[in-house]
Amino acid sequence: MTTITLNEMNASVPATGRLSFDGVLKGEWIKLLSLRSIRWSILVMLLLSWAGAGMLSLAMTGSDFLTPEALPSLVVQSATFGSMFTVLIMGVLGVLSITSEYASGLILSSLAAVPARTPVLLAKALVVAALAFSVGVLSSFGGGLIAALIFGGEGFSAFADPAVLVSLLGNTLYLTLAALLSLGIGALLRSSAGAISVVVTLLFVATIVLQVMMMTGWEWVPVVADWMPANLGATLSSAAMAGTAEPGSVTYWGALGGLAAWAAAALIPAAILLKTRDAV
Amino acid sequence: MIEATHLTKRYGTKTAVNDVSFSLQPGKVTGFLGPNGAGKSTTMRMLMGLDRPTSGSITVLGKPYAEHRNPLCVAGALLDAKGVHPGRTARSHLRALAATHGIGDARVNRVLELTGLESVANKRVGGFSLGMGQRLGIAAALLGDPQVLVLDEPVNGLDPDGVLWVRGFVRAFAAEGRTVLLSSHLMSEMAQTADHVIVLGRGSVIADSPITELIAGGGGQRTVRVTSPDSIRLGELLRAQGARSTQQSDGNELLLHGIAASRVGEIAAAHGIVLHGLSTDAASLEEAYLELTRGELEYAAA
Repeated sequence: MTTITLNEMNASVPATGRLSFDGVLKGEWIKLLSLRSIRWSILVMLLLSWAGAGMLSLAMTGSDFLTPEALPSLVVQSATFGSMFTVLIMGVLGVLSITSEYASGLILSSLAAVPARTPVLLAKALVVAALAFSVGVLSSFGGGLIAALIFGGEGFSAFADPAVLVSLLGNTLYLTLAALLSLGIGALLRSSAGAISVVVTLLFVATIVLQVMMMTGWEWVPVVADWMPANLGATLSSAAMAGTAEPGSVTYWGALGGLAAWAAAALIPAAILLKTRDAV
Repeated sequence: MIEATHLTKRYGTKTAVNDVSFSLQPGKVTGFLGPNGAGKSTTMRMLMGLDRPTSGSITVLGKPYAEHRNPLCVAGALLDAKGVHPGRTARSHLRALAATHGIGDARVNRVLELTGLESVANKRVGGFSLGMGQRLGIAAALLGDPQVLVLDEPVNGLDPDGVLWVRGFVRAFAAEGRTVLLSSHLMSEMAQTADHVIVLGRGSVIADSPITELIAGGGGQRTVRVTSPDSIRLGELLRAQGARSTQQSDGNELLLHGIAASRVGEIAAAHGIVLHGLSTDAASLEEAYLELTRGELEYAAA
C-alpha cells in the first residue's frame, strides 16, 4: 500500500506549487491590502492625527507657551496629540487582521494551505508591523510638519533637533507595537468583539482607571500606571525631549522594551496556542 | 489514497468520531452520509490537518496532510461555505491563498474559468449568492491542482443548476483518476454522484460499501404500496401478519414495510378484498440510509 501511494504521488503531484515563507508573506500582504475597510481605517487614522496636530498647534500659536526654547517640544506634542485615539484604530486593525479570518471561516483555508501554522502568524505580524510603521511615520512626521507649518517660519528649525526626530520615531514605534499587541490578543481570543474590548481596556480605559486610583495614594498604582501601554507610548514620544524626564521615571529605551514585552506577552502564547489548538 | 485508521476525536467528554477506519480509492467519488453530529465534518477537518485526532490517524498519499511539503497540491477542501471574507473580491481571495504556494495569476484565472466565475472575479464576495460562494470555495480547493478534493456539503442550498454543476464537476474530477470525498444530506443527490458510500452514525462507521450494494442491502425494507376500497380491514389483516404500515397517505392507500407484495395479494384474495393497485417501490438509497441510521439520530425529532 505504502509503495503504491508513494509512486502515485511522485507520478502525479505537479511541481507548480511550492510552499515558502516568502509566499505566505505575500499572501498576507494581499489579504491586508485587499480590504476596503482597512484602507478606510488608515485614511481615518491619518486624518485624525493630522487634525489633532493642526488643532493643538493652532491653539498654541500666539499663546505664551510658544517660545523658541519650547518650539521643538510643542512640535512633538502637536504631532503626537492624536495618538491617544489613533492608537485604538491601529489596535482594531491588528485585531481584525486575524479575528476576521475566524469570523468568516477563512482561517480554515489559511491553515490548510500552511499546516505548520506558525508562519501564518509570523507573516501576519510582519505585514501588520510594516503597515502600522508606515502609517505611523506618515501620521507622526506628517503631524510634525503640519505643526511646524502652523508655527510659521521658525517652526521647521525644530527638525534640526535630533530629539524631535527620536520622539516622532518613538510615537511611530508605539503605534506599531500596539498593533502587534492587538494582533496577539486577537489571535488568543479568536473573537473580534472580545479582543477589541480587551485592546480598548489595555490601551485606553486602564490608564484612566489608574489615573483615578492615584487618589488612593497606594504606592504601586503609579508604578503600574507607568508600565501600561498608553503611558509607555507617551514616554516614547516625550522622554527624549530635554527637561521632561523626571528622575526615577521610565526611560525611552525602557518604554520601548516595555512595549515590546507587552507585544511578546500576547504574541508568543498566541503562537503556541495556534500550533496546539484545533483550527477553530 | 486516503486512509483512516482507528481515528478518534473527543471534545472534552463528547466523542465526535469514535474508532473510525476506512480507505478511499482514487478514481472514485466517495460519499459521506450521516445525520447531523455524526462526525462527517470533524473527520474532514482531521483529514485536512485542522483538527488533531485524539488517537488514530488519517493520511493522504501515505502521510498526514500536514506533513506534505506542498499541501495545496495534495488535497483541496471546501469545508465552510462562508470561508471567505465578504469584503474581498473573489480574485483577491484566490490570489492570497495561491501566493502561499507561489501559484501564479494564470492558475487563478484558470480556476475562475473552471468554476464559471470569470465574470464576477473582481466583485466583492459579500454580494455573492450561495451557489457562487460554493463555486468560489471549490475554485480555492482547485488552486494547487490537487489529487484529492474534499467537499463538505457542497450542494447545500444550491439551486438545481448548481447541484447539476457540482455533480458533473466531481464526476469529471474522479474520472481523471483523482479522489473525491463529499458529504451530503441529500441522499438522492448522493445516489447520482457517489460510487461508494460511507455511512456514519454517532461517530462510528455503520456502513462502508459501493452504493449499489448499499441500496440492494436495504431491499428487505422496500415499500409496498396497496390501494383498496376496503383499506382499513386490509390494514388490520396485514398488520396481524407482521406488516408495518408507515403511512396511510389517503383513505384508500396503504404504505407497508416488512411484507412482500405477493403476500399482500394472497391475503387480500383469501379474504375476498378488492385491490385497485399493488406495487413495490424501487429501493432507494434514502430507505437504506434511514434503515441504517434508525436509532442513530443524535437529535431525534421529539
